[in-house]
Amino acid sequence: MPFLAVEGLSKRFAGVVALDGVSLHVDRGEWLAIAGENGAGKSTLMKILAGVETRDAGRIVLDGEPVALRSVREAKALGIAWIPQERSLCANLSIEDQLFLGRERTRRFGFVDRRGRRARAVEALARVGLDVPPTMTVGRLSTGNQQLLEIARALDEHARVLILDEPTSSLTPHESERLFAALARERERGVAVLYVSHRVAEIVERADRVVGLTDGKNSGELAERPFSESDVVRLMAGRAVSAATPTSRTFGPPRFSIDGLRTRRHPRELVSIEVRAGEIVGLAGLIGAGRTEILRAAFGADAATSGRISVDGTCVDVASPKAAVRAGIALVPEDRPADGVILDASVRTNIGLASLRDGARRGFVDRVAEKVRARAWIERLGIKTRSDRSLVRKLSGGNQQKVAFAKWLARSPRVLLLDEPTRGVDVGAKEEIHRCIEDAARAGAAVLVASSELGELLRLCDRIVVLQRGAIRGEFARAQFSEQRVLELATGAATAPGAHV
Amino acid sequence: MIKNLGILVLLIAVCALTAWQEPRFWSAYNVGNTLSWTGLHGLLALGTAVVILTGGIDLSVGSVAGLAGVMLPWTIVRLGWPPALALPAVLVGAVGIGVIHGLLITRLRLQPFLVTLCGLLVCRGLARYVTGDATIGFREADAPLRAIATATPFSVAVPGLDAPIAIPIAFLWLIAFALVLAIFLRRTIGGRSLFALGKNEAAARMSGVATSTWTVVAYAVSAGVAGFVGALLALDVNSVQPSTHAQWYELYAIAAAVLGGCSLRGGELSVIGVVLGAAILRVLYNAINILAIPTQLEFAVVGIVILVGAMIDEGLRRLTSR
Repeated sequence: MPFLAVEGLSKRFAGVVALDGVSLHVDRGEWLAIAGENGAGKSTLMKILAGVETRDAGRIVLDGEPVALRSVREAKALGIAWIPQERSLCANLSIEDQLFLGRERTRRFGFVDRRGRRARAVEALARVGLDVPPTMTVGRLSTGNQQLLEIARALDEHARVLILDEPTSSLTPHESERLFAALARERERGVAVLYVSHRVAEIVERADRVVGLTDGKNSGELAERPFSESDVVRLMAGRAVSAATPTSRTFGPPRFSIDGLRTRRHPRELVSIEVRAGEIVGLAGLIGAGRTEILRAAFGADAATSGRISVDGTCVDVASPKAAVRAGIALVPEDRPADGVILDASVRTNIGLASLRDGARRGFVDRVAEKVRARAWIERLGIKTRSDRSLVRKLSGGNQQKVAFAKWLARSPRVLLLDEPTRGVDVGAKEEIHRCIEDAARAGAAVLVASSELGELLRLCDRIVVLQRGAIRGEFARAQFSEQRVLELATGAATAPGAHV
Repeated sequence: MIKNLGILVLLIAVCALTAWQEPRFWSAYNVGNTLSWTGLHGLLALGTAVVILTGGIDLSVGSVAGLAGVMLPWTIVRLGWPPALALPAVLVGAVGIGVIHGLLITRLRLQPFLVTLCGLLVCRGLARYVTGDATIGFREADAPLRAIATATPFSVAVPGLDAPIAIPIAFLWLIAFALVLAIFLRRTIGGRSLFALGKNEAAARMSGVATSTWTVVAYAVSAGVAGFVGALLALDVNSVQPSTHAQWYELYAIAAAVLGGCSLRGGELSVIGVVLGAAILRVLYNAINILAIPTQLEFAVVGIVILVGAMIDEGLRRLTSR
């Protein structure tokens, strides 16, 4: 009997299916890798097991007992520990304070048992091979050591199942080795490891077994070692992609070019991309590959270390978004509620925000034009809202995103930069947003779209540029599109550049 | 609009209660006097509210008013500047202080609370140093200049009152500024930009709004208005004590803005609301005086009224959002 078994797990978010009847199991001391693209349902699976989300249907059996997993507390008590990708430590606490935060052992009168605690901290740190004094502040630990600290805490709470989400994404090779060594020791003690990662090489090297997820469903399993990198990639892609149908758009002259751009995140990589009028170019890559950084730098939202941005052959000094907007560049950002729309302003205000100067006389906004423009775009994009005066907060995610689009489309931008254009959007709205991206291209815009959903890029783009760790690894024209080959380049499973155009 | 109605009801209630207890409240002299003080405090509150709209705070307005109130007689009497030069110079100086605040906040990314707290201390210190802490006033010859603070251009006869109310010019300044500000905020690119950046600075910036520039403008407006109020107050009382001139007025200004519906989180401002808020505070102050409530209790009464107002507001919000 497996130690942890998941059967027929399903979960929907606001009508969107995240998990659809997923089953898997893991034994004591086993290392199970879960492979899948972004959006395949891996995070939802982890969150349900960690008690952060509750499931709609399905059974979870731990050590022979069905468990409810209604809260994080319950999951922890059962010994299921989730180490999320984002660190959630308090940088200014000492290591031992962090280790026992929220679960202090106290003596009488609420005094902390300092001596007992120190001994236990030393022991917990030794267990993961972390050789640092417990009094040091957390902030002085490297990212890798912070990760080990989180694992130390989980183990000290008697974790029997460790769920690791992209644990090595921000570690140096040396730190990764330390982490794996610590995990190997825990496996011998019978701790089960659920390992979620895009690092195909790590999966091939370490995992006992691989379960694939695609679109919230099981897409197969590699039950026995050895398996190859291409086996894993095939499992991640999950399905054979039908040959791409050519798009019917015609391209004009080169309209937008990024030349020798270096971003703060990847200061050693030079990125150059050219997009023609009417062309849709995709930026593919894993989380942390540098897609968002490139788009933000090209829009002046973040400063780039070097590089030239030009529109229609003219060099643009994108010192700020304002300068970029003036040059005809638009960006629909990744984080909608933070950067994309003003939730507590009306639909009309949001749509008009980038066009305040249009028709303005001596600083006075043309309010009639503003109203007409807002109503026209509500109609055109089919934004479902009670009126143009309603707050954007009251709209669904898809309609909010349409408002973010309308704000820019109203300016007929020459360059349209899109970062995860359909994140958190339901299927119907997604289709409509895709159509409106295609319309913008047909109207002559140069479109550069970043998405972690490969299927979206394959459907939309004329060309896909693949990024890995901030560098361009290859480029595919539409006729050569293949999910497998894009994934191989993006994950670093294939080192040779793909078909260059 | 409903919120403003609530504030108006509160104002009427306080007025009615005071008039019922003490008929002297409803006299032409007292009403005129209250209007005059409402003018000064309303101006300050509106200036501060523009900063609060951006999600910031300006603690320096009392001290900036104090410094301006000292510099005006000092430049005229001690340095012998013509009033026509001294007044604009003082106003430009005040605006300059606001620009410095704004630049420190936007360029160096310092927190508004800290920057304007330092502004408060520095301006008060300068005002006291320049004059050697000595009281300073204007000369007989400056009477024409003093008229911009003391004149009563016209009177309004109100039935039931002992005499026509002589409308004080300070109140007219308030009405004029309120009108200009309301039109600016609702109709112009600048006003829209201020609202947008107050509600969501990142999204405003990502839409091409010059958020830094408009933040600096907000602090400049606040300080400029404070300078004007400081000058008016000095011209009105004609005896400026550097250590106490307009002291703590920033607290009245912030209180009036909040009472008038501004959220300290930014993004909300109703010009009418803030004016009514300032009026309520002045009427309360007046009521404490003429009802022979110990004046030592003034701050306590003001504090309790604002707190109760905030509680009612929050309660209503929860009711309506359900």
